Amino acid sequence: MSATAAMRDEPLLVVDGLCTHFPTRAGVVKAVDGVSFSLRRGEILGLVGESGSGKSITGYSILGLVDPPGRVVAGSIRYDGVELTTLPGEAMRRLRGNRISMVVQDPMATLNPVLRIDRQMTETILAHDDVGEALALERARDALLRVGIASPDERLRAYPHQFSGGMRQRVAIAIALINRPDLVIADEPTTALDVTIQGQILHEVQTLARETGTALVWITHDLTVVAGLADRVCVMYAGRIVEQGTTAQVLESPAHPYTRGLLDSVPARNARGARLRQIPGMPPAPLGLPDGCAFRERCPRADEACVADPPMRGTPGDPDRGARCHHPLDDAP
Amino acid sequence: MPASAAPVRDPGVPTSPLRRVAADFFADPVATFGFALLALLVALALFAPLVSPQNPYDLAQIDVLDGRLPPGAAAATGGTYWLGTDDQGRDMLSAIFYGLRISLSVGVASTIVALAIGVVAGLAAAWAGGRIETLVMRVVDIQLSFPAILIALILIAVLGQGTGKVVAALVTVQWAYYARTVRSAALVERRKEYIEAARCLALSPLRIVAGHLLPNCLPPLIVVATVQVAAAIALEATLSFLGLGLPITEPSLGLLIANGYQYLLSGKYWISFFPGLALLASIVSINLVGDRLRDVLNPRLQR
Amino acid sequence: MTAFVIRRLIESVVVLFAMSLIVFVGVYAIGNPVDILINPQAEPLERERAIAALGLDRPLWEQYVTFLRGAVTGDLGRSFVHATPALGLIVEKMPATLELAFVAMLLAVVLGIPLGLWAGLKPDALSGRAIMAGSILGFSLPTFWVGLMLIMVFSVMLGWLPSNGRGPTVDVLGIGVSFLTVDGWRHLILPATNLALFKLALLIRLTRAGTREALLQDYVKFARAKGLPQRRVIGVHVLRNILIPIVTVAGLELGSVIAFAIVTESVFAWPGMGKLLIDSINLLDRPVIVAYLLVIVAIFITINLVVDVLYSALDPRVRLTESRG
Repeated sequence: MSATAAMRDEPLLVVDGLCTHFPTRAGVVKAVDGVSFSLRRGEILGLVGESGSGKSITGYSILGLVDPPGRVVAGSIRYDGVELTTLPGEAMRRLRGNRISMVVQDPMATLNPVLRIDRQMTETILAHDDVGEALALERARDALLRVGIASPDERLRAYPHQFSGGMRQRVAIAIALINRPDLVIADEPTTALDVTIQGQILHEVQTLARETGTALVWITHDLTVVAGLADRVCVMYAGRIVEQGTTAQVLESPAHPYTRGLLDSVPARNARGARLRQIPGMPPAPLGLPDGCAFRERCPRADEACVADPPMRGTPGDPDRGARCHHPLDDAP
Repeated sequence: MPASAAPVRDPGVPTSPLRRVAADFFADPVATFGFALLALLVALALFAPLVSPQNPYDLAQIDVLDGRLPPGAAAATGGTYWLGTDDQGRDMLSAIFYGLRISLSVGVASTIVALAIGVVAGLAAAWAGGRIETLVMRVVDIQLSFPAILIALILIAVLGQGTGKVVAALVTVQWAYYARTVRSAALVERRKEYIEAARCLALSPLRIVAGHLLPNCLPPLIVVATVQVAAAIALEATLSFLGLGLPITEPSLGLLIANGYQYLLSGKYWISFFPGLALLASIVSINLVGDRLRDVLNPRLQR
Repeated sequence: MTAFVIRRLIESVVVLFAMSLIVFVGVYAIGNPVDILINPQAEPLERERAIAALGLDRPLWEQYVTFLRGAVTGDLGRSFVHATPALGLIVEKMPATLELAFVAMLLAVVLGIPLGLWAGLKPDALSGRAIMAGSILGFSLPTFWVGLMLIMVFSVMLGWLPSNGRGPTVDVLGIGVSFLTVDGWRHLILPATNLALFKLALLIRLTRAGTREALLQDYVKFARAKGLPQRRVIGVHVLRNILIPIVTVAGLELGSVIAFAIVTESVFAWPGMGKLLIDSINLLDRPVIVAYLLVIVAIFITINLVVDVLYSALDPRVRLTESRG
């Protein structure tokens, strides 16, 4: 495995200074504004933030699926050495669903209601690999088995509405993994499901990713989800990454006051009966972002310095660990 | 998400609802054009006797020898027939102004009567509920499942012809739209707290319905009424064209077009063409205004 | 599925029965049946005989039974003008109207869906806006005037197409049709275009709205994320979803096309039921009017029934819930 070893040094995905903006009549919404991170093969990255923080748009930007009028206006996305932001449409299409695939949030709406499951699965194979209907069907069958769906032959001939929410999400995950991609972007795929099914699916996805060496970007608002799943975590706020590090670093010794606030508002971390601590105030309106640190109006540590844009402060010897704050919490090294 | 990218309304100085609607309305150039065109047509209709070169129905002013002259021809009495003349020697421009007057008034009159009937029926259905509601809505459903032209034709066939009967047919065709609109709006409003509050104050049902429920049903009603005026004008023209509408003593645009039909085949297009253009302008301008009002008044689109 | 069809069939019969009652009340109770059903030019003696023959001296409920029996057996009185059974006259003219209506609907569907799809995919482009402006115009243009303009341009000015009539017809199973000959098409094309225009505008709007909505759905985004080519995303994922409601509406609108043919047939002197109705109204030939009314109501009800059944057969969601329940 020397070839693989050599590749491990080169990250699979490098996002650098990504800006995705939405021009509207009232002004430009900077949904993603200077996001940088990288991902190695087989690695699982948790992208955490509140709704509107730009985490989903980041995911869609990688796939080149930002809805107009939104557009990637600056920055670069390098996948396996290929620049995606300038890649022609057809070349991008051949990557989508093949090398990079996606699972979206609502399992009830991801599958086309008027097409049979077999068709929705085989078309994903045939769009990239002209293997013929029979072989495609065979692969679809195997893919269903892999995500734990019993009697796949019968299931293949069914329509989506005959499945439960959890089953549909399994089918969607099976479709995302069907061409054995290098990277899967999962946009809150378990949020709409029951807690027990959430757990099962998380476990299965993790196992599948490890087995096949697939890298994962797991987008979520839920820190407890990334705790058991991700290798590394990026926390997003108002279109920027405000803190990054290994899961243990971020969850156990957060440096940014926003991450601290998020952790404090998770019920399980508080003592029973104690009041949940909430972050005061509201996330800033997308058009009215304050100058400097976007979090300063809600931040207990903010002062005059925070009017200036805080840079991402790395940690010596560990470029993947850092926080974008003038006054990081002292328990950081 | 892009949804959160909706433009925020400037919370500056509070303005009256009418002003806000007007400002929103005229922000759209197409709607502004429609409004200007409609205003012009209404003015022409209102002041037809003043702006027309001749009174086309005063026999002393028309000359049969001037019949079927093409647009731009000189009149025997001096002056020019800008849009030509019809078979009787009438100046088409004047006939169109007078025809507009009749078409618009029949359209507006039938809309007002239908509006009154529809509002009462719809409010009664929403307020009373139960059997009355079922009955009214069943009739509405059945009626709306048949095309307006069919219902109007059958009524004319049964009732006979005449101005009053045409208006009656137009009213019958239209009232169901208002009844349905008012009922659905009233059902939504009824559940709101201010109606509950009014009830607790022991206000009489009539006062609650007329004073509180009705004003809140107005925005959708205005939109439907605008579109229906255009529909009524078009329907009256169609009936008149088929020879089943207004009598010859009330020469609406539809009658003018019908009158020119036989000359069309011999190439004398102007007798039908120009009244048709006036009809088209009326309907398009009303629809443009209605379309914009729908956007401006629709609370779901207000962000 | 069978239970569903039977239930809808029973409903249709009930509606038809209710409509016959309304027609009866309209003609017999509100209007004066003697005026409506008996030739006003008839001699007094003949009048008396006709009143007795039609049972107009009998109580109202008995008249209704007679009327109903007549309607069921296809005897709706004789035309004053043609002195033949009124229903026979209508049935004779029906193929011409149906042919016109079907061709018009076909035109509207074949043009409306692609145009609406285009306008839905490119709502801000000049082409998309132009299509929408055209559809607004299509809604506003009075059908009869468009008919006149078509005649003016294509028959009078250019002299390409005939302005009236149906031309020679070819018999298929004893029914004369126009669409098998070139000359037949030359006669068909103007009235069919005229009749199609309003529905074309409607279908453009429907398809555009459906497309825009479908494009926002997760399944379209997911289909893109699967790396499907654009033409497959649009042609399969979007179109499949919007086609079912659109085809349903197109089917339901067929009835209104048949009714609207009244105007087009009058403009183009197309020898169908609609022109017969207008002629009958002008000639006060009331039995024919009553017969037309009952026939058109029956057509409407049949169309609604057929479309409902087809819809449930097409949509997997409806199909499966029905078969389960």
